[in-house]
Amino acid sequence: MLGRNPGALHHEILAIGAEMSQYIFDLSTHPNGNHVIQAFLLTFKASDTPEQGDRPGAEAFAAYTQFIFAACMAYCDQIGSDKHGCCVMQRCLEKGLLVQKLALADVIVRRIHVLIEDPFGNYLVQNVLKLKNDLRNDQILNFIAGDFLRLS
Amino acid sequence: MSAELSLEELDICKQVEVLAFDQAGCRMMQKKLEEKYADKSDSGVFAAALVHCMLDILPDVMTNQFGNYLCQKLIEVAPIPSLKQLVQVCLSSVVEVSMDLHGTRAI
Repeated sequence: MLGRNPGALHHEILAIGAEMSQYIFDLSTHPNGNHVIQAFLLTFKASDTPEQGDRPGAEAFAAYTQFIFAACMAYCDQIGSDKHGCCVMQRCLEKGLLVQKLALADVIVRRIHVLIEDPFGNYLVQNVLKLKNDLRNDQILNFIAGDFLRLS
Repeated sequence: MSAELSLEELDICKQVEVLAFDQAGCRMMQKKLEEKYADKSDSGVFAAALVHCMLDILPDVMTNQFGNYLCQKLIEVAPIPSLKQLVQVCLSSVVEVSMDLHGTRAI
């Protein structure tokens, strides 16, 4: 519905986002709720894959998805190491605006010592690598190099 | 609004609180909505009337095993003002419905 006519339903989309924003953690880690959050990201996507740049005009979608990114950054460890939550965060890294993706990547890199060995969180580190951002990749490689044998 | 509705459609609107939770009823309404939507000359008044009659029960219909399909169809075909109404009445239960097995599809 939201994708049908974002202009005419602008206020409704923001209202739904505002209503959900306090519950992003619960929704993202819920077996049914996580699909609604993923639908938000897919409907208002700025790109398809992590390494892609923003589509023209996608900046307008930032207002519709920023509340999801904010929650993912605030609860990075908990959402990232959850079976469903990690799918939501992978969608974030694929579909968000470049600024949103890089901001989330920074948080993931900061929490790499927790996420890299997590059965679900490790996918997020792999997705940050797919952003192909030199600075973030250097930080990840440095961390891995410091503990290479044990991690291998 | 009722001036444009056929007697049959008016009947459906009156009974919607029963039909929306019934498998055959939901199928029938979805088919009707589809036919109307395919007809370019249709004003969408039936879809709008259905939304109007269901405002009080929408969250319950969305979480129903049959009703959620009806809601998905309504959201597809209803005119924008009806969608605004629909969002307004569902807003307070949107998180709860999102976590429901059937509701998640409607949301």
